[in-house]
Amino acid sequence: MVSRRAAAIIAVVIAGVIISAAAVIYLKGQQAALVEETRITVSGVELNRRTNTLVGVNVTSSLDQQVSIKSASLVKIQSGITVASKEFSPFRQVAANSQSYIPVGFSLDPEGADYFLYLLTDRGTVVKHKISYP
Amino acid sequence: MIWTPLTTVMTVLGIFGLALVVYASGKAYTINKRISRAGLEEKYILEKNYYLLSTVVWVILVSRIVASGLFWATNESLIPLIPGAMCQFGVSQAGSPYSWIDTGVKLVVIFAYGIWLVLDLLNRRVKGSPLLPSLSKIFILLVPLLLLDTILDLAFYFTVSPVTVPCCRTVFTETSPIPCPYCFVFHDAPMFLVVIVSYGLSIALVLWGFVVRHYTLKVSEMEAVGNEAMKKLVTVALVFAVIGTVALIPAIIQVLTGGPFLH
Repeated sequence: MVSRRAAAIIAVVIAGVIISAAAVIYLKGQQAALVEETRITVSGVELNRRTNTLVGVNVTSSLDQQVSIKSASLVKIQSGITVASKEFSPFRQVAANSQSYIPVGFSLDPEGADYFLYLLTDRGTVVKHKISYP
Repeated sequence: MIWTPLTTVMTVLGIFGLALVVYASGKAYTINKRISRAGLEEKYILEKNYYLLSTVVWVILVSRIVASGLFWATNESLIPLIPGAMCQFGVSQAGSPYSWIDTGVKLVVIFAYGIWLVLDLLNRRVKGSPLLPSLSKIFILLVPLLLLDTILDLAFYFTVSPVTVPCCRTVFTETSPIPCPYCFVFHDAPMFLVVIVSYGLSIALVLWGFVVRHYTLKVSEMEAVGNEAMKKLVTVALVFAVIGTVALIPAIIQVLTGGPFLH
């Protein structure tokens, strides 16, 4: 009886470890599968170093059509976890062949870290930009 | 050395542990050497000595288990004091190589120390203290681990200084297959800390249960107390496994939600 319970506990722990690893692999796979928008780039980053905040970013579009930015997410590279995200309502517009400012207001780790900023467009693509802070 | 309240506590626990281990190991060696050949009268004296030793060992092992928990909190508190450190990886870099060995030791000590504590609790409940020679032997076997544990703590906290260190961003980049465990667990997904601690305790309790079973089969006087203890250990282990599994649900939800692909 005791041995069976012990075996059950070990099985539960192993299952937990496998599920956790699967979640991390799934997350990495999802991030890798995102279609990158190559014709929109982040041309500038506004940081507030006093409050450790990513205030906003400038994006430059070389597309011939207007694009909407639906959401923004900040993924910490060292942990692979989305540490902040926001949906824009209404969507932020980036006119054709122009530059726009996207306010995000994401808190950054005061000790420093590397991040990927993802801007999801209405075309189903993402603008990806690496930020190293501080 | 960086003097903070926590590093001071760790240093005091290290020195205190080291002194008690040196004292207790001598006593344990004497008991272990004499008990097999002792007559009734000497056996009685050795048993009395053993109870003093047992109390000292309890103090040592409990203080080392407390130090094992405090180790992580102390390292976390040192991050802002070490330039370049973003997580405990940077703190370990500042205290290298002692810090890395100490981290490995801290992950296993609870399993080893718990064995002695559980067996001693059972020994106290059985007439004639049948595990007395075994407990003395196990403690002597634990002495190298205890010395390593305390000396590494002292070496690490005396070595660590506010030097500029490269942190985990030099090792864990976007191409790394695994995330930085310190950033992941201590900063961005703290629910995993509950999962790891619960699962760790669950495995430790099962391991102690197996050790109790070994001695229950070996020492006939232990049968009733040992069987009861095994049931209790496995039940508590089950409780921790359930807590860990319940905590795993929000932990995984936190990791999977909020990603850019979900919007």
